[in-house]
Amino acid sequence: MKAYVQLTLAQLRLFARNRQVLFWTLFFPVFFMILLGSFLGGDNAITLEGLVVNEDRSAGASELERQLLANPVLLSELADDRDSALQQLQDGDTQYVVVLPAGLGDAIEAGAGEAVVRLYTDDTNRTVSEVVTAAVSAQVDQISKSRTGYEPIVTVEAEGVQALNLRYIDFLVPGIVAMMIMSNNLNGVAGQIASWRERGILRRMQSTPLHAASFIGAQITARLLLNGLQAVIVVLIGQLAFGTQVNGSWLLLLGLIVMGTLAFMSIGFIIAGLAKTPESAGPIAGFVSFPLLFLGGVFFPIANMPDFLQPIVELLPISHLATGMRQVMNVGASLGDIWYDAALLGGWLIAAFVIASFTFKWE
Amino acid sequence: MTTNQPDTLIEVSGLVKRYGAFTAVNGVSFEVRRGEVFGLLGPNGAGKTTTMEMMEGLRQPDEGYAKVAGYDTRTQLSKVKEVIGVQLQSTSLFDLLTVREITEMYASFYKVPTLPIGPLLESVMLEEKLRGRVKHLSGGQKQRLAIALALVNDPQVVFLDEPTTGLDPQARRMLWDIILRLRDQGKTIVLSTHYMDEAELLSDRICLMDSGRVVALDTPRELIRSLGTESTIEFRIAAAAVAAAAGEAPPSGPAEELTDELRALEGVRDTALRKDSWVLYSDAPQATLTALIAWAEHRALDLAELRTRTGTLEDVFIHMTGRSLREE
Repeated sequence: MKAYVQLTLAQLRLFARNRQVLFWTLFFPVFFMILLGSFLGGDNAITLEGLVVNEDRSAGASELERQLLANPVLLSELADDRDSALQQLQDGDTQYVVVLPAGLGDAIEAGAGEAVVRLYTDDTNRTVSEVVTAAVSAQVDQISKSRTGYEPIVTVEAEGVQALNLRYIDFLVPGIVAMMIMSNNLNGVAGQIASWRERGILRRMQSTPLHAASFIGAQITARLLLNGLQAVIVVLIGQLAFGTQVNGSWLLLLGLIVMGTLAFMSIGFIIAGLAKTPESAGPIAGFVSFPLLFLGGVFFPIANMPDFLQPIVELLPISHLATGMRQVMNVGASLGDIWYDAALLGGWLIAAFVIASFTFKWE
Repeated sequence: MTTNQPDTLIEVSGLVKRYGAFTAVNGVSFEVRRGEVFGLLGPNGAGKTTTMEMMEGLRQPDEGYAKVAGYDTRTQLSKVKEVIGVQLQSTSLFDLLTVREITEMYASFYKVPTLPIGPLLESVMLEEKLRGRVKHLSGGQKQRLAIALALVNDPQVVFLDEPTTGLDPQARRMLWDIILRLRDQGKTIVLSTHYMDEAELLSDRICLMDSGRVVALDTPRELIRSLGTESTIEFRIAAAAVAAAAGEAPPSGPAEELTDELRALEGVRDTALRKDSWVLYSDAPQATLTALIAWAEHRALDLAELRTRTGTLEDVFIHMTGRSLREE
């Protein structure tokens, strides 16, 4: 017991005194958060700004013009002539141009289906052009319907649901905490244990009555304390600088951090066992963690990954750590909601721990 | 066996350790008596470290056994670990901890009562470095700290594996003083070294090892006496002078021709040549010296740095193995 306490203290002192490592392990995630948060952050809501050109001064055309300008989806302004409006569209200064051509009012009055409204959109921006086309068509449809005295058979009752206002940064912060847990433990443990073995530190300890359990227990305790603290700091920085939220329980979030730490530490111990030299531990750890970083939904949603990668991605421990934390932080999920992620992470933990305990060697 | 006799602390019997096709230790047996400094002397690769590590329980022997204070390292390892202190050949310590912190940490590993840290560090002359970090210690100070850590559980036997390798002469002497003081306090010490002066100065008995075997085991004095009345005569002849003296390139080369002549001198049993230093092993040093000087005058050669001495452990080793201790 006193060996366990002393070794935990020693590891915490090593952490605290290795200022450079301490700085970079904290700076790296915060830097990533600020970098990605500021450049990619923004609002991902689509804005539709366009111009309406009315070349027909009839009552019908003016009515349509008024309705288009009042449409809550389309942020339209009135423009004077078609040519300059189209020029603005080509220059990318506006996203669409609606032209109400001369003779439109008469054509509507005639009701022969020959009334035409011209819509110009930027084809390179598909999302915008689709939404604009739908919105303008709906508006024009209403005119047609009111003219023909059309009675709707089916109506839609809109019900307001308060959706979560999620931004990229809300997605990013839990991912970055997951990344930090992975890299600190997987790379950190693999590198440190391999180096201690190489330098004979473990061998010297082995010549004393010290038990491996005390040693490993102390490593786990010290790293849990450090990781917990670092994760909380990163989450708090996210809250203060970017206004990210923790909607769920902090306790559940800490539980996930603990599980992630244990799972990736165990994997780190396995790598330290496989690596013949401390020089090879780094590259092996990199080989394992680098793909996890990109496939594990840290920076981009897993749903955006190609289909053939999905089955692999679904099995990665980091995916479930990141998803679980995201659910707790963003949606306020309870353990019942994320049991699947927690169970998969737990499976990794147990499997890695069993393998690590068989492959761990003092020398 | 003999482990119950009061004066035997360590019993090593028929130890064998193989690494694949290579046999590092090949049937080593000896006993270490309580209170003695037991030196393991041999060149690099002789199997000293592997033998020590089997005595410490860090390696399991493929054959044979080692018993420390009556405990078998194969079956009672945890008992063994409580009564031994170990300084390994290449241990580094946590650089960022202080001397006190690392000593307290090692003390915490033992169930047996440990020594108070102040006096312990004083005994290795580190009391002023108590609060200093390990990384700021000199090589000699680090080695003294390693010895303090080996003493923290007040062990019955201390294993020191090449403790002075890589240290400057002053730091070596300081370490020797510490080891001699430990012996005066009655500690049993197993010391490995490839420095014969160190082995000779510190050891009560020396176990000469070569190629995984024990080639001789006795007190330094007895080992040297085993060479008989043999003395060595050493001198230097400049290589250019040798070539000139040998005349027009004899088929066997100039040095070989001189070797034959020197070997023919009275009392000479053997000769050795290292660079331009010659060594004659003689049963009758006085007669050999007279003959040597006459030969040199006849040959018109200058004998530089001429000296005679009685045998050393180095000579014992060469005598036993035909090779030098310092050969790499």
